[in-house]
This record gives sequence, structure tokens and C-alpha cells, in this order.
Amino acid sequence: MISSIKKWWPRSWRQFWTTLDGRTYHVLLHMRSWIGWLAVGMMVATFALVFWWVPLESIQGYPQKIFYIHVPSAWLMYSAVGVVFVASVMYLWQRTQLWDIFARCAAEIGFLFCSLTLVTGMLWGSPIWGKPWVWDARLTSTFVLWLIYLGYLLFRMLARRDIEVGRIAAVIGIVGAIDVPIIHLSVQWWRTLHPLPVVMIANDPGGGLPTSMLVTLLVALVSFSLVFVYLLTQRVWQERTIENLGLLEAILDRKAEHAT
Amino acid sequence: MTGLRSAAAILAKDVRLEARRVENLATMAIFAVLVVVVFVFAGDPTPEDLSRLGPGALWVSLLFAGAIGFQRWFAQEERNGALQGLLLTPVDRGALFIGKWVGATLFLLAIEVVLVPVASMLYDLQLGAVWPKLTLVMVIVTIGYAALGTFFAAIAAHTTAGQLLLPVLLFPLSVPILLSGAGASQQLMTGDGTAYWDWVGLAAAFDVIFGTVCTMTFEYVITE
Repeated sequence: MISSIKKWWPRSWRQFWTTLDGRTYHVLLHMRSWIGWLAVGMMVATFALVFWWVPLESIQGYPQKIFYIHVPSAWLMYSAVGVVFVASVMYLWQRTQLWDIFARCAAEIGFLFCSLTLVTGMLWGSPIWGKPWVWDARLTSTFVLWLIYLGYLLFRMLARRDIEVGRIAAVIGIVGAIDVPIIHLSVQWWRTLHPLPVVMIANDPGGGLPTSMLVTLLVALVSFSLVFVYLLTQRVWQERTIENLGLLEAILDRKAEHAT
Repeated sequence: MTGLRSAAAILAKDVRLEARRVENLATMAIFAVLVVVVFVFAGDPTPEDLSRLGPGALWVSLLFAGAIGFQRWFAQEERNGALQGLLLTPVDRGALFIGKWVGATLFLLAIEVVLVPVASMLYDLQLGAVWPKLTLVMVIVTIGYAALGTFFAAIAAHTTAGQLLLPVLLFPLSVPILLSGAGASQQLMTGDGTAYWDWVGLAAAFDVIFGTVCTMTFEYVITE
């Protein structure tokens, strides 16, 4: 334990910053299986709370239960924007491959949770609003965020092979992340200035949420966050392994060449 | 100061190129007008619908014209290795961006000079008293849109599907500027102008933020 801490402990600030990616990666890698099992346990606890403990909402009934999946997904899709932003800035600054991998994997998982937010929102909206989609401020800004994630991932897929993809993707990540709060604000203004005659239900959390629901929501938030961290480390590890295998292959090829 | 001078030189080059092939800009203006016309066919609008839809149609047509234009104005640097030539000069990449950005803004504004009068006639928009305010919001929105457009045209040039990818990247990120433009002009047309300055302020903030961010990060986009 002590020796491993010593190995990771930086000798100077300069070293702290230049090796931050490696240390974050190693810590996460070592804790990966723990995080995974913890996530499974918390997930089971969350579903137990949702289905057996928390009381039924008096007006909406069962459809309201999707709230405990919907809200954590939304929280993670925004958190992923933050991870992409930080990893992109760090990549442009340090130029170590691992930050690029972090940004890419966080964007993929963010896209996943953004899709999950949209789908659960539509499933929830169908019985409550009578239709899956209304042009409400939150729905619109979530949809725009989904499109931004899609654009970012599409760029990574379609980029020419002769350029440094990570560098430009990092710039897109930074510009996109700065734009997200501005989009949020503008869409909110747009909707409040032109209200639609929609049957809106107060699905706002906070406010008058009873304690039992709040507790369940918090447990759900923690377990979803653990799933997020687990998926992220797993994906980063995967990408790293692919990269290492590629290197190994190149070395073996060269050796084979020398042998003949 | 040398940075500004090189930006001005790049701008002068772009303006000269467009002036010698003025039919390009004219064709784009016609395209923009056509989008506005096609918009009418989307429904069977009554006169009230027309004046309500008008500002929105105007902004959508500008969005499309921009998506085509940014691609063209950037792609002309790719021909004959002009971009490599530019990159070999000891010019700051930020200055390079500012030159291209101002150029794109001017060309879009030139299209608007044709588009707005025609659209206001077709949609029966009453521009009599509001045109100074409308001009202000158009200029501010065009500046911001041109900043993002030029920036992402340079990014999309690095892909195998350049022309396809540009709108996919550009439109979602341009939502705030499009909403500001549509919101402000809606406020002007429907009389109640209380929120006009809020929208103009948002668009101006967008210009400042993305003008700065794009100028600062352009070197990462363009380096070969």
C-alpha cells in the first residue's frame, strides 16, 4: 500500500501535472473491479428502494418511478460534458495520449446517457403528457446536447487518417462544452417568451419532494455515477489495451523482418 | 499590430477574390431567396401566418446560405496548396482566423442586403420603423455565426465527408445565435419589443465568447 502510494506521489508540481493522467489511470484501474461490484450492489439497492420502499406518487402512480432512472441519466450526461472538457484541455496542454482516450470514452458514455435521458423522458411523457415529445425547454436543450455529442463522435469517425484527430476533437470538445450552458440559457428564454399551450406537469425535482423520494433519488444518483465511472475506466482500459497490442504487433513485425 | 495588418491583408485578398467572381455571391443570394420562397410552400399560410413566419424563414435561409458559404470560402484555400502557403508565412494563426472571419461576415452581410428586402416584401413584413434595430441584430448575429462557421469549416475540411459534416457540427452549436436572431426580430415584428435588448445582449455575449475562443484555439485546428 505504502509503496504504491510512494510510486504515485509526485516529486514536484511539474511532475504532478505531467503524470496526472498516468496516476489517475492507475488508481482507477486498480479500483476498477471494486467500483464495478459496488455499482452492482448499489444498483440492486436502488431498484429495491424504487419498487418496494418508496411510496407510490399519488397523481402519476407507477409511471413516476422512471424518474429515478431519468434524473440520474440527465445528471450524468452533463457530468460527461465536464469530463470531456477537462480531458480536452489537459490533452491540448500535456499532449499525452491518455487524456485523448479519456475525452473520447467520456463522450461515448455521455452520448449513451443522453440517449437514455431522451428515451426515458419520452417513455415518461407518453402517459403523463399524452405524447412523447413536447417542445419544452429541457427537452429541447437535451436534444441539442445529443446532437452535439453525435457531431463530436461523427467527427472522430470521419476524420482523415493523416491528421492528429485527438487535437481537433479536443478543440470541438472545448467549444461544445462552453456552448452547452449558453444553449441551455437561450432555449429557456425562448420557451418562456413563447409559452406553448401544453399540459405541463410539475416534474421539477427539488421543491416539494418528500424525504423518501429524495433519499431514493440520491441513492440512484450515487449508483448511476458508479456505473458511469466503471464504464469509463473499462472503456479507457480497453482502448489502452488496443493501443498496446498495436505497438506489440509493430515490434513483432519488425523482429520478424530482421529474422528473415 | 502586425497581427492586425496580416489579418487585413488576408481579408483584402478574400474580398478581391469574391469581387472578381461576383457571380458566386449572387448565386448564393439567389439560393437564400429560394429557401425563403420554398418555405411558403411548406403550408398554406394566411397573411397573418406570413408575417409570423417571416422572421423565422429569414433566419433559416441565412443558416443554410452560411453553411454553404463557409465551406466554399474555406475550401478555396485548399486549392493549389494555398493553405500550405499561408501556413508557411510567419503569420499568427489567430490573425489568420480573424481575417477569414471578417471576410465571411462581410460576404454573409452582402447576401442579407439582397435577402432582407425581398423577404420582407414576400412576407409582408413592416420594416418601416424597425429597420435600424433589425440591422443591428442582423450584424451582431452574423458576426457570431460567421465565427463558428469559419472555425468549423476548417475542422470539417479535415474529414472525408467535409461538406456533410459541417452542418451537423455547426447547427446545434449555433442554436443560441439562431434563437437570439429569431427572438429579437420576432420582438420587433410583433410590436412588443420588451425582450429585444435581452436577445441582442445574448447574441453579443455569444460573439465575444466564441470570437475569443475560436481565435485562441484556431492554431490547433489548422496546423498540419
